[in-house]
Amino acid sequence: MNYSFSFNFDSDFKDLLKRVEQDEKKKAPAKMKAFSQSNKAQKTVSSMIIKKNGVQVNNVAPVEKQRPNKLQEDEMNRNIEKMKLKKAHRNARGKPPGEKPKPSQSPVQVQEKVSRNKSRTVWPNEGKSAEAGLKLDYSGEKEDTSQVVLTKSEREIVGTAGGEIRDIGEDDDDYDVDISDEEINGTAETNTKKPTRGFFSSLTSLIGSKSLEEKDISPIIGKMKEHLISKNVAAETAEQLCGSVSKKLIGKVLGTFKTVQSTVKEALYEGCVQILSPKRRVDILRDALDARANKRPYAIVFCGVNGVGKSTNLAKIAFWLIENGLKVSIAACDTFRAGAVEQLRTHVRKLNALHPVDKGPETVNLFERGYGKDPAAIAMEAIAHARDTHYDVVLIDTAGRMQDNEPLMRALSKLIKVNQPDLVLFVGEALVGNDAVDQLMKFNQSLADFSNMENPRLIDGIVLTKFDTIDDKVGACISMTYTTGQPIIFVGTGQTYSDLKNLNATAVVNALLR
Amino acid sequence: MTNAKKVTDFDAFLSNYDTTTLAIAATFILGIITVLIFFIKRSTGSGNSILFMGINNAGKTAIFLNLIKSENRLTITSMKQNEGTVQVGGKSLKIIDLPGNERIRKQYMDQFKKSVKAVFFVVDSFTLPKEVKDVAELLYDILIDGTLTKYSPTIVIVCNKQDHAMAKSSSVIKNLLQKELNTLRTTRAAALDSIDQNEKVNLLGKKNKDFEFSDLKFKVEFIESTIKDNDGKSGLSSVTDWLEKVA
Repeated sequence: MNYSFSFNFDSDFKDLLKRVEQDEKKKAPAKMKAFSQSNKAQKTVSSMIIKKNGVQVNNVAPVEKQRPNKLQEDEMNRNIEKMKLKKAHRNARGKPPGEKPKPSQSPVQVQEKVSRNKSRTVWPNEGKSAEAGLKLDYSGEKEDTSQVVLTKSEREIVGTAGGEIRDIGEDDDDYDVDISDEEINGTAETNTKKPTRGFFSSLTSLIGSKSLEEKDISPIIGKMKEHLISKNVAAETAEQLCGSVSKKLIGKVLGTFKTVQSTVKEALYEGCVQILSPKRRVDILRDALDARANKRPYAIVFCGVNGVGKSTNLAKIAFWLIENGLKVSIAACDTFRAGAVEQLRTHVRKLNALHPVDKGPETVNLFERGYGKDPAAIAMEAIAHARDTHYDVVLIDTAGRMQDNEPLMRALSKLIKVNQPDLVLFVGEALVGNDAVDQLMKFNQSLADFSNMENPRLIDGIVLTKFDTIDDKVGACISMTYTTGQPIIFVGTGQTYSDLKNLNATAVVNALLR
Repeated sequence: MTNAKKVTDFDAFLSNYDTTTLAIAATFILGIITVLIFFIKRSTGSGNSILFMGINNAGKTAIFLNLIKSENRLTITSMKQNEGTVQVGGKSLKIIDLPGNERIRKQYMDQFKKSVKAVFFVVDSFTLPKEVKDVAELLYDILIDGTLTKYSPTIVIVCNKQDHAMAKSSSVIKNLLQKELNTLRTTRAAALDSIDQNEKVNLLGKKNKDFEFSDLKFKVEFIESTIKDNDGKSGLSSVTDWLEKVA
C-alpha cells in the first residue's frame, strides 16, 4: 500500500483562500455614522416635551441642520389648525351658553392659575407647635401587639431555633491548601540541583527524612503570612501566628511521604483550629437554666463599637433563648443614641407577637428608663426587676463606643463592675481587618484599668456579626480569638431572627487556608 | 510512509530513552501501589486501641503510667497523646492516653476515634460535683459522636481517686452524670435539622423518657479505682480486669 499518495489539496485551498480574502477586501466595512447623522441627534430634550395641545415640537432642535421639507411643514401646520379648531369646539360645548369660548388661552396661563391656588403642604410630623411635638413623641407609646403585622416568612421561623445553635456549614472534604503551590514549588525547585529529573528529585524528597531548618521553611512561611493577610487576618496576628508555627517546626524531622509545604500547612491548620477551639465550656442555655434553678436572672452585657449590630444580634439571641423556653428581659441601656430604645421596643413587640402568651407576663419584656440616664443604674434596676418578676435572662444593650473614647469606656467599665453580669460579650463585625486587634485590646484594657479591682471582669466571649458579607475572608475570627483568647460564641449571618449560628472551627479554617 | 518505517520510528523512540528511566517509572508505579495499600489499610482502622479520655486532672496519665511502667509519678497536663502497649491475659493491648485540655481534646479525639476498641472515661470522684457540667459535656460529645456510635465501643467509666475520704461512689457518680446528661440533651441535642450539616444529630437516649445509660447503644460500665495500693492489693485491679475483658 502506498501511503504517500495524496490529493493536492493545499494548492486548491490556498487559491480559494486568496479569492475569499480579496472578495472581503472589496467590501469595505460599514462606516460608522457620525452622531449628527443618527436618529438620536434629532431628538433633543425640548423636542420630547409634549405640549398641552398635543403637538410635539420638533423643529426647535438646535442640532438640526436641515429643515424638514416644505410638504411636511405644511401638513404639520394644517394638523395644528385642525386640533385648535377641535379644542375650541369642545370648550364651547362644555361651557354654559352665555360664556364665550376662549380658544386662545395658552397652556402657560392655565399653569399659572393652578399654581396660584396651590396650598401649602403640611407634612404629617412637622414639629412646630407643642401638639405637633407630642405627635412626634413615640417614647410614651404603649405596646399594642395586635398592630404588629408579621409576614409569612416571619411566622415560619417560630419553633425552628430550638436547642443548640447550629454550626456554619462544614464541608467534610479534606482540607486542601492550594495557596500558591506553584510559587512554593518554584522556589523549592531552584534549590534542587537536577531540575530535569523532576519526579526523581520529588521522590527522594518524599522519602528522605531530614530535620527542618529555618531556610527550608521561611519562604513558605512568608507566603502563608501573605495569604493570611489577604484573608483579612490582622497583620500583627498573622505575623505572630506564622512565627509560632515556624518555631514549632524548626528541628522537627520531616515525616515519610511529606513535603515541607504540606508539613507547614498542616501545622498552620492545627494552630488555627486550636486558636478557634474554646478553652472553656460555653453553653449559655445550660448556665441560664442553672441560674434559674438558683432563682436569679442570667445577665449578659453586649458591648462594642458603633454600628456593628449590637441591638440586632441581641434581638436574635433573645429569639433563640425564647425558643428554648426562657423568659427574656431586655434592658435598654443605650441612653445616648436617638431611637435606640424605640428600636428595641420594636423588636420586643415583634418577638411578643411571635411568641404570644395566654396569661401572665409576656415572654419578652423591655426595661427602659428613657434617654440621658446613667446606664449602670438602669442595668442594675433591670436585673432587680427581672429577679422580682421571674425573668430568666437579662440582655443588657449598651451604647456603641469607640475604643479610644475614655469617658465612655469608663462608663462601660462602671456598668460591668457594678452589675457583675454572668457574661460580657464583645460584638464585632467580621468585616474588620487590622482594627479588630486594636478594638479588643483597648476594650479589654479599659475594662481592666478603670475597674479598680484586683480581678476585673474582662470580655468573656465574642459575637461575630455580618458574617454573611465576607465570603471566605474569615480572618477576623482568627484575629479576635487570638487577641483575647476568648471563644466566638455566636455568629450573625443575616437579617432575620433565625440567622444566628455557631462557629465551626474546622469550616472556618478550611475557608481561611483555601 | 510505510509500516516498516513506523517500526523503526518506535525503535528510535526506545533507544532515545535509557533503561534507567524505565526502571524509575516501574519503581514509581510500584511505589504508588504501596502508598495506596498503606492508605487503604489505615482508613479501615484496625480497632485495637484503648482510649483513655476525661477532663483535665482526672488521672488519665497517672493510670497510664501505672499500667505501662507500674510506677507512681507526678504528672502534668498532657499536651499530646501518650501511647504504649500493655500485656493483659497473654494479649498485647495498645493504650492511648489523650490530653484532656479543652482546646486540644477534640482534635485528638477526631484523630484516634477510628481505631478504638474501648473507651476508658476517667472521672475524678472527689471533685465531680463541682465539675459535673464539664465532665458531662465531654461524655456527651463522646456519646453523640457519629464515628464512635458506628463502632460503639465499650465505655468504661473509671471513677478514679477513690482513696480520697470524700470521694463519691460509682453509683452516686452514675446518678449525677445521668441527671446532668438529661439536662444537657435538652440544651444541646434539640437541634432538629440543619441546612448545611450532612450529619444529623441524633438524640441521646430515648424520647419522652429521662436519660439513662442503659438506653444507649454503647455498653457503659462503671468501675472504681485508685492508683494507690490498699492492703497490698492494687487499686487498679478493676481497670486491668476490664482491660482483660475487652481484649
